[in-house]
Amino acid sequence: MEIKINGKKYKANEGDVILDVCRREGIRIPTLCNFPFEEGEFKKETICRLCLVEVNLTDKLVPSCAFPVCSSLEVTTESEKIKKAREINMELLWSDHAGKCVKCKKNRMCELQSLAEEYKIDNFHFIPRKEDLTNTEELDLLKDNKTRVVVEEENPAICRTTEFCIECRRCINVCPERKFGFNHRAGDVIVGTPYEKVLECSFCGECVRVCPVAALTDKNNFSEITEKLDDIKKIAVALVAEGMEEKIKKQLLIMGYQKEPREILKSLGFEKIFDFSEKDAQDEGLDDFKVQLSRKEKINMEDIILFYISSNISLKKEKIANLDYILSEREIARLARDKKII
Amino acid sequence: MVYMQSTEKILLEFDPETKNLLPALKKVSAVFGYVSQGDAEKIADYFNLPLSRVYETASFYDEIKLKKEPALVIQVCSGTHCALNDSFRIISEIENALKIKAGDDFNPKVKLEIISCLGQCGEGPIVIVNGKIFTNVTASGIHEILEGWI
Amino acid sequence: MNIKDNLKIITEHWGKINPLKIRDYIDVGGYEAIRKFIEKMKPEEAIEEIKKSGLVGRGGAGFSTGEKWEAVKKNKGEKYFICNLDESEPGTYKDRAIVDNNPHLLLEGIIISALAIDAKKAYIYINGRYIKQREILEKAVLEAASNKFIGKGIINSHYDLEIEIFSGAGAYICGEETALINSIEGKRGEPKFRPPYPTETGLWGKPTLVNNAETVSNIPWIIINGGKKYSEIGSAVSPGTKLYVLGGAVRNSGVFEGPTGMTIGAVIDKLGGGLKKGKELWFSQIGGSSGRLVLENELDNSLTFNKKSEIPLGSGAVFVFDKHSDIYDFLLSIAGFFRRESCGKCVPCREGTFRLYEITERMKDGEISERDKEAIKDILWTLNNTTFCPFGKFAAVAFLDAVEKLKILDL
Repeated sequence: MEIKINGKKYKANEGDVILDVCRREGIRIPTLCNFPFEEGEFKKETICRLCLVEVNLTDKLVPSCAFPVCSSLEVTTESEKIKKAREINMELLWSDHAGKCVKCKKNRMCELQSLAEEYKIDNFHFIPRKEDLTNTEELDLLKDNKTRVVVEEENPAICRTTEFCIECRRCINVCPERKFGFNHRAGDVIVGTPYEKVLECSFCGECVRVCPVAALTDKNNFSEITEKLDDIKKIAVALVAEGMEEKIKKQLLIMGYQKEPREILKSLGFEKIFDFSEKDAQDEGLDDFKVQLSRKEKINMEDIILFYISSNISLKKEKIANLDYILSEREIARLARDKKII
Repeated sequence: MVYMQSTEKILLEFDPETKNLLPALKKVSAVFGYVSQGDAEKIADYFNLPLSRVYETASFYDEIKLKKEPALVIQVCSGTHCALNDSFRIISEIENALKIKAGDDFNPKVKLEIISCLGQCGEGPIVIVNGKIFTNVTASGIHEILEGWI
Repeated sequence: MNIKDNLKIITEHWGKINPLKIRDYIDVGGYEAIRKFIEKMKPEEAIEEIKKSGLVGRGGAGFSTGEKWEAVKKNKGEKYFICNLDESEPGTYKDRAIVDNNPHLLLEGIIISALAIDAKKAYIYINGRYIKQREILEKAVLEAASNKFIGKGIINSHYDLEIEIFSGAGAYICGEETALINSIEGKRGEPKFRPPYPTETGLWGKPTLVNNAETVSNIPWIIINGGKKYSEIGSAVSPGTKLYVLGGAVRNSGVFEGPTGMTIGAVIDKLGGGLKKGKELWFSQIGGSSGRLVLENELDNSLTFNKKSEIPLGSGAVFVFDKHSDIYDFLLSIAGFFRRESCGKCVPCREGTFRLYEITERMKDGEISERDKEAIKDILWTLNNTTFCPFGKFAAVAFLDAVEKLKILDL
């Protein structure tokens, strides 16, 4: 069938929603709850309300991520009303982020940040309301506009903080083990684990990958890592897992950079870079690597800092004897950003 | 009244179908005062659901408590009728007298909740202290009520 | 107003029969409608009568009951009927009064509704706080079953029906039919995206009819007296009687039955007996916390379920405010209610109701800033235009009127 979007005709398939057609045709509609990457379909949550559009069938704004196409449908994706809706709703989310970007782990990699820039959200109507309040002495100072923040960094691989969470449910939907829930109600909603317990899972890292903001990030000791990379007495070695170059490239692209991952790694201070297949990683390949390298190149074991560049952050929970750090593509990008390489 | 009831026994009253999840959670919460993590795990097992599903459902509903309630729970109705008859002044009197803030659940000893209309509008403002209903409460009269509980 | 001013359909036997005795109800002609339905009518004919009656849902949305029945009836296979008794609109307790005074009328309505759409299972979803009412209903169901009005082979016909009572657990939004269904299914009581509608994909994915308890209570009368006769009562756009719940500065508070289409003034004067001594009318709120505010010069508006009507009847609650009422107490009550009861799913409602409450608190303390005034307009706009379900709109209604008619932002 054919539908009209912004006055132009486009082909649409039975069962499509408006957003499907727009994505195919390159008509941009902002989304936060609907995951825009190509890796598979996401549940149509219709909760961020950023993808609202106007249609000829009703006076109401409708969510393009769930509204089914039909013949004679006419869609408008940009109007004053739509812009107003996006701006107000984004501003409501923005209040807990405003002014915090510079120090944020996700700076320049954050979907909310880039949308806020695009829509020029600089109107500070609202006071931040999420605050880490656990100390009972703070109770007297409690302001009505503060709600609780849950911070959890005790698990081996993922830093969690609800201070930045925008309750988009991506992590809930992507988790193969259904570890997260949409807990409590109304303004008290907290996305997290039951009873706020420490996250225990296989650490596949999918939740970190899909989190649009800094609510879920990779866990590492960054100051220590930067120190060691800069230490001229140490030799930093990167084992780059299969497919990682592609992922790093993509991650850099999010920040608007097209650079060769190898170059980035070199600029970061990695002296030696090796490709490392999944097969290499098995059978104690990772444990042995440093030993072999030290023998072969006659370097002291202590002077080698071995990094495994991989999305498989689940390895962080296994103490691999001679491996020092695991870095995901997100962390490479973050290091590059912090070192002002990009 | 000493009368032991185990979570397992309560669960056996329900067929393990999801329509019984909410009734089971309510029952466990009513019997033990709240649904503990251990109980939630048993419930999740029994209904064959992820714990996160059980918890997110439980936390949605007011009647299901997920942590031990303080010894003193004060609820003040803020429906239109009660509100127009001073319930917000009653709330601030309680806040000042007990040095608590309505809605906070940090204090292990006492909790003050603002609740919605109970449909007893003719008798408002309504204050409920540990389940006991007080009607036609006034901002000055609340202190006398509180004295009986501290 | 219609000549049948004093006609009572739901409250006729209130206070005159013992609600706990099925015999009392049968003695005044109760359960005759089931007999008529089973012995003399096909389900299609019953649906036709309901359509003819013009009955619309009493929960607030005002959708045609007959059309809803038809939509479910036309589907094959397993189906469910759910009676929505999750009454939790502040200041509204008419459904509770129905159960308190005549539970068998409700049951009879439920049985006919379920049988008419071929459902073999009906649920009564009752507000979790209605503990006494649940007990009344449990007893009524038992008695009705032992009189063969429920169970296998209802009064020796081929009809079977099982009725289960399901208690809510404290969440206002579960009164919304898709949220209610989620709640029975053991999920968070969040509204679902439509389409598909529950009439096609409802409880456990099966076609499901959800009707409000008051709507259902009209069914026996329509079956006995015919749809045409019902359609002549009250306003032509949404005929019948309505339970009005009066509160505030009126002389008589409580639940009263009157025809639809009464003017607001008539509800206050005729049903409410006018204002209490020494009270002076400022404004009224029609339909509970999510209802519109009306000033004195709007009292001639007649109350119907017409979607286009300026002042919708909503839950039927009419609350009258005296000149000396504290407007900020009222607004804080409303804002607090929606801030607590939003399901939290969509951004504008979760964040908007939170912010609205925050600003209203400052308003009450006399600390509202220019920034707040600007923000409140944005919040009300987004609640009114962009939320997932009508809850957001509900949260904005009274405030929008307070801004426009009571000029709260100019004070």
